[in-house]
Amino acid sequence: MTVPEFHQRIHVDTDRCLGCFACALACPEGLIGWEDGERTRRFHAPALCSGDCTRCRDACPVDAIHLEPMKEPAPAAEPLCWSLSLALCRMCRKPFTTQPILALLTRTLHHTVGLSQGECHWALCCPACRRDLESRRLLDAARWNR
Amino acid sequence: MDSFLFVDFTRCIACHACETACGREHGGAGRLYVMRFENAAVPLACRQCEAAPCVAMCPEDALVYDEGSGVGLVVERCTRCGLCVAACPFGVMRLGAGPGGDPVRCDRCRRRREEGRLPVCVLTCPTQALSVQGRAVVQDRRRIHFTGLRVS
Ligand code: SF4
Ligand code: SF4
Ligand code: SF4
Ligand code: SF4
Repeated sequence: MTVPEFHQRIHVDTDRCLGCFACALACPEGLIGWEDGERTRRFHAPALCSGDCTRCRDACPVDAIHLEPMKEPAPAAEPLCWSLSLALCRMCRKPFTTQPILALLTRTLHHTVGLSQGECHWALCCPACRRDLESRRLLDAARWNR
Repeated sequence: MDSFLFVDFTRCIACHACETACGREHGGAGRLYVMRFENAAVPLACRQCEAAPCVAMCPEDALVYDEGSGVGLVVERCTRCGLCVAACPFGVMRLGAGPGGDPVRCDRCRRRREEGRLPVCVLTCPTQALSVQGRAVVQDRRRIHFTGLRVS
């Protein structure tokens, strides 16, 4: 079987992918999707794309997507499927981001913002728990200053 | 014009008026988070960190720090990847509602600021818990101690 209308092949470097879903939000046809399970985020995308844009590739922050133009009609191909581990909040145990994003955050805090690992325990918590931590810190500080 | 939001949370009565006003000004939910405890309340909003983790994480240079006005978003560059949301130490940034929502955080009412007007939360707060101050005043409350970050 050949599918002549498909004219680019999507390659995803799943080792690079952060699991941010910028590609999925960028695709005008909504061809890229994801679901969150208890511990993993699962992506799916077609192997062949009929569009002639490059928006998913352009949106990807880590250049994990490569679009290969196809000169000839290609046989139908299995859709792409890849998954990433979610990071669970240290306080409430709910997933709040992916493991690769958390690893990137830790590196960025260290190299760019200059925080050592000991100074950023909050990074392992979800936004709601970070708000809780911060307001308790402020209340404690107010008590000390009185 | 002074443009940093100063929160004196000891005055806050947790009425949530600021949150409501903020939501009405920007559309959608408010960008302040009024945290309630047994006998205290703490309104939290973006601190305009000097060494901002959200700015450092953004792969598209869509978040930029400006000495006079703090962190700003260049919406055309943003891909909605959400890395900034994962980076905020205070949990006060989120992606807007619906698919493809922009990152949402306190922008000290940018539109009003450009017209020389006060933020709506400051106008609305019945106990003057919120005010707009210069950088120097707000920096006295730096939180190096707590998060290791220099924040406004
Ligand atoms: S935009 Fe790139 S890093 Fe983000 S989910 Fe898609 S392939 Fe992965
Ligand atoms: S969501 Fe937008 S502002 Fe935030 S890190 Fe991604 S590109 Fe930058
Ligand atoms: S200054 Fe404006 S954007 Fe910021 S919290 Fe107040 S009302 Fe919301
Ligand atoms: S309007 Fe003022 S008193 Fe009411 S919740 Fe906001 S900061 Fe507190």
